[in-house]
Amino acid sequence: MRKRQFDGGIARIEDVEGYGMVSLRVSAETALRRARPQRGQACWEGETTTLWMSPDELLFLCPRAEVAGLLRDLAQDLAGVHHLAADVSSARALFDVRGRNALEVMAKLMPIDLSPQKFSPGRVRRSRIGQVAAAIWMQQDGALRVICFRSVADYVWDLMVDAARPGTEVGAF
Amino acid sequence: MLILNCPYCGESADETELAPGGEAHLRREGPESQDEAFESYLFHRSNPKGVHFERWRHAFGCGKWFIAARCTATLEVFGTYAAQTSCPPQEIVDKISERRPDRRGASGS
Repeated sequence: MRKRQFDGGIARIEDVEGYGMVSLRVSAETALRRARPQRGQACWEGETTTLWMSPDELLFLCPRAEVAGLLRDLAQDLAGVHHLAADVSSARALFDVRGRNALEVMAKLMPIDLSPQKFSPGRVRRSRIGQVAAAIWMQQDGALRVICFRSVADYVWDLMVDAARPGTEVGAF
Repeated sequence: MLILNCPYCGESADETELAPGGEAHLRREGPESQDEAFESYLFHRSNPKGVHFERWRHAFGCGKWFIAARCTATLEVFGTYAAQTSCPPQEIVDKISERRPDRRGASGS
């Protein structure tokens, strides 16, 4: 699919391609030999982003070429520990939303508190966009990243572009 | 609008993020039970106007089941707690008796 970009509105939205994703299910008490994000947070280690998805679930985002190595490392670190690590790179679509009104655009679509006081770099929130499940987090540079299942990526894209139409600032934040 | 605090991920979840799971603290009646008890376990649910204990799933969030104690008439939420409990924790019971002093019985029944 061609990489889409929307730049004519109150926020800039684009597809982010080329990421590999690894889902790890392991009990919350298990120590990992890598940074484990706090509840509701993301953490970064080199080029890898780790998202806290639920008490026993993490999602790693890394360059696609590093997926095999990451899976190997996890299998080694967690040998003998009940866990599930799976390459889910094709499962989800990733978007980048940036600009002064980025939070406002997403707040139009999600039933969560996205005020800048509450939502800062490192924060992750799983919720819904319109009618489908999605997660949102803030990068260290303040840009927002949105993921949703690839099967509903077009729906989410259309919603976000609509919410970012020129002249639709709400001024809530 | 109902907003419940998910005890697993700590987020304030809007009702539209949640999936309802019906009455909480049901006791399963197994193969040895009487027909009446099994029928009751399967079909009979309380539907109180007032304090109620309900199962909810944070379907669009962390995906975990939890239990909420709330008033069905005023939508006041007394608290939420992990689903791995067979009766409400003491702090929830205390909160309910503080807010509803004339209510009898502290359990879900």
